[in-house]
Amino acid sequence: MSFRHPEALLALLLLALPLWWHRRRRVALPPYSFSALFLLRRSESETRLRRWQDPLLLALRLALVALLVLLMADPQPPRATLPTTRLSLALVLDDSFSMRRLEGRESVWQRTLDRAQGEVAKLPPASECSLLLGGSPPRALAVRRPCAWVRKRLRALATHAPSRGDGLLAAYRQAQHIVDASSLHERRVLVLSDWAAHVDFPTSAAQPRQGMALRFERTCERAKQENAFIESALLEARSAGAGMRSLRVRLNPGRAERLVLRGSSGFSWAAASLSGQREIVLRLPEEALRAPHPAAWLELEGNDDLADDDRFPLLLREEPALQVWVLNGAPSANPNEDEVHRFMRALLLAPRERGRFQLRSVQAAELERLQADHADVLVLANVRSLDARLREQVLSFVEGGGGLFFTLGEQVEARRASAEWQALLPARLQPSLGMPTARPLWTEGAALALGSEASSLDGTRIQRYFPLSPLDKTAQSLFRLEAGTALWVWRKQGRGRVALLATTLDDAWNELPFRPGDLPWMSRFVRALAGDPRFPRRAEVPGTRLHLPRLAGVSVMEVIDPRGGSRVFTLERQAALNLDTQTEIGPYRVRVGPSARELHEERRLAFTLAAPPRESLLKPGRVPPSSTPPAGPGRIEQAASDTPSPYLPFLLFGLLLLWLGEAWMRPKAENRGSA
Amino acid sequence: MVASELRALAPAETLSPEDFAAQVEALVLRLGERLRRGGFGTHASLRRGSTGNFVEHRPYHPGDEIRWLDWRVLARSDRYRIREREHESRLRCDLLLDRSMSMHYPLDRPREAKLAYAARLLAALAALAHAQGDSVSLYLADDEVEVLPRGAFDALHFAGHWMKGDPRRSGHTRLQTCLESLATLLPKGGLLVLASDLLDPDPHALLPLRLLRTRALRVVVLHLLHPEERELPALGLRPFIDLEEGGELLVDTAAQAQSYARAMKDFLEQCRRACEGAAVDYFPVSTGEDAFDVLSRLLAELGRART
Repeated sequence: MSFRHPEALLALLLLALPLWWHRRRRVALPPYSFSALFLLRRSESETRLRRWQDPLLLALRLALVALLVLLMADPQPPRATLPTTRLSLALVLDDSFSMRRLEGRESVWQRTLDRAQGEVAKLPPASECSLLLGGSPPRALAVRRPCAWVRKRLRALATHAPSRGDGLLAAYRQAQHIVDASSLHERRVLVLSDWAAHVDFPTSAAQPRQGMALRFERTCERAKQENAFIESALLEARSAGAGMRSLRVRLNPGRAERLVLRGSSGFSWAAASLSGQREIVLRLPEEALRAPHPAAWLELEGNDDLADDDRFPLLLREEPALQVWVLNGAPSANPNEDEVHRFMRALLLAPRERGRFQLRSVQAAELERLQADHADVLVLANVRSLDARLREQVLSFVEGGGGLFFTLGEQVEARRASAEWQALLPARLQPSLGMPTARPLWTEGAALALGSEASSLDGTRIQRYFPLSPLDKTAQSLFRLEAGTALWVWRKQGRGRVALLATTLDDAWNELPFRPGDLPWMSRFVRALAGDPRFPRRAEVPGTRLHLPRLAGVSVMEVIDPRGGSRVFTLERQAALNLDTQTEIGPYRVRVGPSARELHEERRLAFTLAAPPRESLLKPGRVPPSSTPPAGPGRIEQAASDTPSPYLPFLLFGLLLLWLGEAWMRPKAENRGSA
Repeated sequence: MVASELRALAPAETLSPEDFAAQVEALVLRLGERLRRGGFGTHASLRRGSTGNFVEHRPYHPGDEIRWLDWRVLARSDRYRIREREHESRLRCDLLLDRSMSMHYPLDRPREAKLAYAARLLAALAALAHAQGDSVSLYLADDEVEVLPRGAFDALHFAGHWMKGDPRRSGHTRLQTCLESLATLLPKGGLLVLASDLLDPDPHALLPLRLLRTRALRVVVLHLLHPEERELPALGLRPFIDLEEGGELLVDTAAQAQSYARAMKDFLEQCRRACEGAAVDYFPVSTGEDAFDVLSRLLAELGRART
């Protein structure tokens, strides 16, 4: 039996009232003076327990009060009949960040766990249960395990801080596979989530398989839409005045009134009042960037239900410049004739908001230190050939995450280059062709989006180029000629990227350097080629796989989380430390050294984890339809509110009987002077 | 509730001295009639004296008067024997009335109170003894012993003094103290009649009775109890208040009747044993009995010499 208003059961405390009344009435009786009271005291202990006068009247009154309270609590029939046959249940819990929000004193996550516990508790004996978390990546914590084991895991999850992004759909599909493989006849999948708008779960996915019941429940009550959070914060590279720097903050202000930037010691570097702006620029002194530990917090002042995204960790430090190494195959003392002069000039003139370029013109022999010196991009401009050892170095560099940009020219021999760079080139080179009328076109849908520069690059004259055929399957064409031949292609190789421009980098075979869009395009292209920064730059969201590069001479790395917890990693042959288990939001420090005893702080490797802004949007989304009538609290309440309780007539009849009984007994008791 | 508040609850109107005197007179008249018809024996002196009634012989001791020598015995056996005779004198009769607060029970019915009943008995006894020419002394006892002046044996006077036992003035029962002080107060020999409910929680309250017996006194204890003290009245659940101490106890009379009856039986047995142990006449009296019958029985008992 359940109650529509269980809080009314608190009124059972009123049972003390008849007791008190009964006793009070008894004490108010006229006293009787007696002489042999000491004899009565001798016999009192024997009858102490039998001193309630009119126990039947008292019991009637107690029952009357209890029945009244029961009437107020409005008992309901059992929500669902407990299943009696064994079944296989898969619980999919959404542990995205929005589940952290509070409703009353309880978080939605805790409520979800309670709901899951209740569902597992209702399973008949010998049932099996699976438990999956819908964060990113989805994880299966239990696969067809006994219920007691799953309940234990659910209890352990109470300390888990959900923040893993949205992988609910994948977890749900995995749950379907798991339940489908069960030998039990009855199978169920229960998905518990707040079903916020960010949950990527198409309704079409909620198609039950044969013999499987699906249930989707929303475990939060109120639809909260106003939630203040900080979306991103970018420290601009250029100076914002004498000794000042700009911090561009994008945010959803909600009802927050003030934005404050605090250093790790709590010192406030900058603050701004908010009046609904979604983007705000804070000016802070450059001293802030020279703090021993660069961690800082952006804080929104104001209360809302999801407090964890009101603080945004960031690192106040100069972003390291992108290291671009250029190996020129046809150097010239005359800048106008130099192969890479215009390219390097384009990068140096590129806007610095997105970071600086550090260009280095190298000789072939220097390529041995490509990885050791942490180059980001290597440009091989019109290079005829490299010996095998250096080619190995370049391949290793690309596989480890570096960017390689091939540009061609008269020094390059198609057949030889194709043979030597077979492992790296995204296409096979054909002998060069002179095509004075060829014009490149931007390839629609290319991975690298082209902005306003597209119009200025379209239609550029190409006098000569190397036809690329056949293209590697993984290669993507950025520019193609009108005839459909690829001109500028790139592809991923290992963790790095390789790009190939089938013509010269300078203006010898084309007019690209003369186009106004070339300069911004080239800087964007090189940044994209560099891929993920070698050192962590922007704030990541929990669950992201991070690669911390192994610096020269480093064998041990220690990662210190925002709470001060430390994890020490010993690197053997790895080129980078891969981290993906951290979920705590805040700045992480990294200490490195040749051994565990000789660690020092490495500011460049420090990184931050911030609340995923997408999951801070609490606008409610749509709950997929369940394939069986859900027994969730919301539906039950709705159904219960429509129909009167079936117990109501019995309760009223019982109340009437008790009242009559009490009315019948009261005068008798009054005559005896005890009621 | 304290005892003083309880006393304030007691009805101010009690038995008037005149009514009381009239009751006693009627009682004495009936008893006198019975006495004249020889219903009761006369009492003998406890002292040896010079009357003609022979009691026993004893050896002569230097200092004995020569005239009490039994010459006949001397002539026959050449032994000196003194002939002892009874000494006839006025009997000394001491009456002790317990006027403690518990004797006012039931407080709401003063005419039925144990104190009034006991006073009637003692006043009648005093009148009879006085008429017989015996010496009568009256004492009132609660916290301490109060000696009434001579002449108070007259019923009206006695009532006047008894009225001092107004519930609003009575104290606690301190039997032990009172009996001890009485033992020092009374001369040797005589009769002491004690009228009390003996409701003293002190288990050694009656020990001084032995002391009184060493004073060659004949002691009669009239143990007065109201019928509602012997058996609890059916009042249901009521707060009972101690008449003397003022303590309160919630009592379900129906539930406690049996256990109380057992406790009362034990108490009576304890009193009886205490009196027998001290060679004292124990005379339980219920105030529900006719006072005439009680006194008749008492006088008959007194007429028998105690062995």
